[in-house]
Parts: sequence; structure tokens; C-alpha cells
Amino acid sequence: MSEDQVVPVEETKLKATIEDKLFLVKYKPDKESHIVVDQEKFKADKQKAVLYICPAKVYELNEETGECMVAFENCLECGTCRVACMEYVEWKYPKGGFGVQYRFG
Amino acid sequence: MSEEEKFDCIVVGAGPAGLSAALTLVKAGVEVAVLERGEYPGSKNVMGGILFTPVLDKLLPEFWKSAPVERFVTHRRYSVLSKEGEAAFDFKTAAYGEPDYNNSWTVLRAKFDRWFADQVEEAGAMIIPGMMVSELLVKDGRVTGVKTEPGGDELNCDVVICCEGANSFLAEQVGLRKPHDPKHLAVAVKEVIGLPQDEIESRFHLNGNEGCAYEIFGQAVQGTFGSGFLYTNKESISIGVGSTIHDMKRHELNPNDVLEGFKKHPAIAPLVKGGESLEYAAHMIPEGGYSHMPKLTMSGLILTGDAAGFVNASHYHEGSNLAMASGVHAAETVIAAKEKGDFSEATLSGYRDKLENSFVFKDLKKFQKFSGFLNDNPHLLRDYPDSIIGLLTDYFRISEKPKAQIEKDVIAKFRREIGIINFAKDMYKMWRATR
Repeated sequence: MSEDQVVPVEETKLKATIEDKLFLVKYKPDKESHIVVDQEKFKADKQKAVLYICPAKVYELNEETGECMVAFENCLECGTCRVACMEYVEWKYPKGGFGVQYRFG
Repeated sequence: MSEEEKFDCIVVGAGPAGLSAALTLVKAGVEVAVLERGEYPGSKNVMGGILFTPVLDKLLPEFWKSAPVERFVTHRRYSVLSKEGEAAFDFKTAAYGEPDYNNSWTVLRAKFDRWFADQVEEAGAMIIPGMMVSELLVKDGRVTGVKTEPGGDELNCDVVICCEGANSFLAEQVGLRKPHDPKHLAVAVKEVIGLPQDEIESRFHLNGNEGCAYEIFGQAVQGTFGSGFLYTNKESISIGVGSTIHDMKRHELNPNDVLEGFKKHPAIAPLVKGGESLEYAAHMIPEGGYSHMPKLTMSGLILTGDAAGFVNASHYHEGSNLAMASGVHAAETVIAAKEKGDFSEATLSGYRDKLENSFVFKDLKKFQKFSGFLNDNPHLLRDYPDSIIGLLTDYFRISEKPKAQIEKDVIAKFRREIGIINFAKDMYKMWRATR
């Protein structure tokens, strides 16, 4: 990026990427995951919609193993993965008191 | 609590439905515990940001004097976006600026629900946060209590009012509902963007504490079956997009990418410019409507709110108000059941009669074909906005071309791209779908 393309400070306060936006979200992470992916069924699925449809990009493909990695601690608890990919995603609520803590909602 | 002890009623979830139910119950002297999985009520609760309040105003008269409401809505705007343009219907009136403020408020649910829960607790209900109900206890075909996490404790009661929200695991567990259909659930993402109060008021043409509600279709959500929204809070705006999971999946869209496309649209970018992102949230909305409702009751159990699919997914985008109304009706049903000492399905099915007589079912029925109609006619939200804005762009283009020729060309283009008969048919079908 050249000098004249540097984004002004006040513009950067408006976040665009999921990574930047997740920094704004408060969590109380559990040690155990509340999400289980059936890796064999995931590998067999062509569309692998869970990789793009999750609003928090919790699911990421491990290129080497072909498995689905799950960053459960970033979950925004909408449940979309469970509806979109019920064949291989087992999603439930985190235990009481854990998970996302919306301040605005 | 010992095994013999039990509550009259357990409410699962401290959202608008659960809190309305609990308040109605304690006012009638019914012993109630509200179990909330969040660390505090409101911490898991998300909506676009407009709360319709006719039910709330009956439960807590003149709530706006002490509740953390943001702005009363005096300005409604519906528009469609093409890639470059916007065509809008815009309505505002100062008549909504006096009590009862047209029962329309912008709120931030984490703050609002927390306050609502405090009022319900003060009235005598027990609210237990940090407790997630993992399953319903069922014995001989009737619900007898709940099992909670963490801890695995079992709590017994005469009846459970289930206000667990859109995911509705418990309704599924006992077979009141089938697994969700991606066509009937929307995923919505939202950002709260901070802006100075006077900047919001000048940017959105608001006098004092007035607020506005924009609902935006077409390219707002890349032509999918859904919409974008933008609501003004006191010192922030709530902006977001939502579409059916079916469409998001089919078009391989990420909800945040859709939101970013919306924020960068030339009609929207100036409204969020210079703001500070404060929070990002995601939520599901059940949009199947009346024709895809679950079974609502069984012995010892009543479903309410999003768990029952009570969302008016027409242009009204109304959910929380229906949730509150259903919570009240569920509580009234439980009060009557307690008097009879009978919590069987036969008694609890009185809940359905109450809903039939209220705006909840009347409105859901009115729009029951609407969602299916849009699912079956994707061109309406995908193609019409582009065509309409294209026609307007030609119509308003200034050149030396005589106006009579412009009109002729625009009409010819309309016939070519849409067709008068097709247009008339679509309008007729749309009218039929709301009858």
C-alpha cells in the first residue's frame, strides 16, 4: 500500500472483516466445544456450505488433512450451521453462562 | 431444592416471551422460575432493533419513562436497491411523536431485556441466569420439568412455558416440531455503529428523539429472499441484512460479505460514514409463518415466541411483539390450568383459542401465503429492483431527447423487460398472497 492510499484513522473505526468485527464481541469461552463436526461426512459433502455460511467463520478447512477445524470460541450462537449443514454439524448451545455476551444485542 | 419441591411453572428463556409470561404469572400469584442461559438476561438476545409495544404498554404502563428505549419511530422508509440506485417510499409524521409514540421504539436488546428482567424480578418472579435447559423431562407423555447445564440438575414443575427462541431444541426433542427447513429460517447479521447524537439527527432528518426505520430490498441482499435494515438509536445505528438460509447457501454467500456490500452501496455508505463499529451480532429468524407452525402444546408444555415460529415476516418484520403477546396468552392459560389443577394437553390447548382471537394468529394468517409466494417468485426481489431503477434512470435522464420520446422509450423498455401482463399478474398474485 503506497503512502497516499493509507486509510484515515476515523475510517478504520468502521470495521469490515469478520476478524476485526469479532474483536468487538465479548465472550466467556468454555473449555469444551459445543460443536461437533462429523469429519467423514464433511469430507464427503461437496458443497461444504459451513465454510462460507457461518457469520463468524467458525469453520475452516484444513487443506492438509481435508478436515474441518472449529473455532468454537468465536461462535455468535445463531445456529445457522445446524440448519444449513445438519448432515455433518452437531451444534448446541454452550453451557449456561458461557459463550457470547452481547452488550448491545 | 429437594426432590419433592417443585415450581408451579418454569419458563425457559428470559426474552420478550418468557419475561411477559413470567410477569403475567407472578401478578396472578403463580410461583414461577425463569431459567436463562445467558450470564445476564439479554446477553444472548438479538433483533434488528424495532420493538412494537402495545402488549408491553399493558404489562408495564408508560414503560418508556424508565426503560432504556432509544428513539420512537416517526419515520418509515421502504426502498429497493439496484447496484447503483435506490427507489424509495418514504413516510413520516410528527403525529407519532406523542404518547403512546405509536408503540414503535428502537431498542438495543441486551440493554432492554436486562431492564425488563429487573422489572419482572421486582414483581416477584425468580430469574436464574447462567442456566441452560438441555432437555425436558418427560414422563408418561407429559412434561414434568427440565434438566439444566452446567450441573445436570433436574427441576420439577407442573408446566413449562418454552420461550427458548429460534433454535427451539426442546420443541424438537419432544416432537412438537420437525428439524428446521432452511427455506423457513433466515440468518441475519447486524452491526451497531456509533455516531454522535447530533450527527444522527441531522443525517436522518430527525427532530430530537425521533427515530427512523429503513427496510431495504433487492441489491441490499444481492437479490436474495431477504432484506437490509437500518434503524437509528440515540447514539448509534443498527444496520444489518438477513436472508433465508436456503438462499444464502444456494448462492454461496457469507452473511458478513452481504452486509459489507450493503454498507458500501452508494445509497447507504454516506449514512454510516465516519461511524465506529461497536458490536457485531448474528441471529436466526423463523419465517415459515402460520403454515409452518409447530404443534403448540402437549401435557405440561406450551411453546411461545420464536420457538413457536411467531414472526410476521411480511413488510412489518414483527417478532418480539408477537412473542410478548404469546407469552401473556401462555401465562393466562397456565393460570386457568392451575385453578383447575389440570395441566393436560386438553386444558393447555386453550392457549390456541386465545391466539386465534388475538392479533397473533390474525396477522400470521393474513400473511401465511406471503413467504411461500416470495420463495416461489424469486424474480420479484432479484429482477424487479434493477428493472424499476433502470426505467427511472432513463426517465429522469436529461438530454435533448424530447420528453415524449423518453416516455415512449421507457414504456417500450418496460414492455420488453417486464411486460404489462406479467407485471399485472405479479401484482395480483402479491395482493392475493396477503388476503
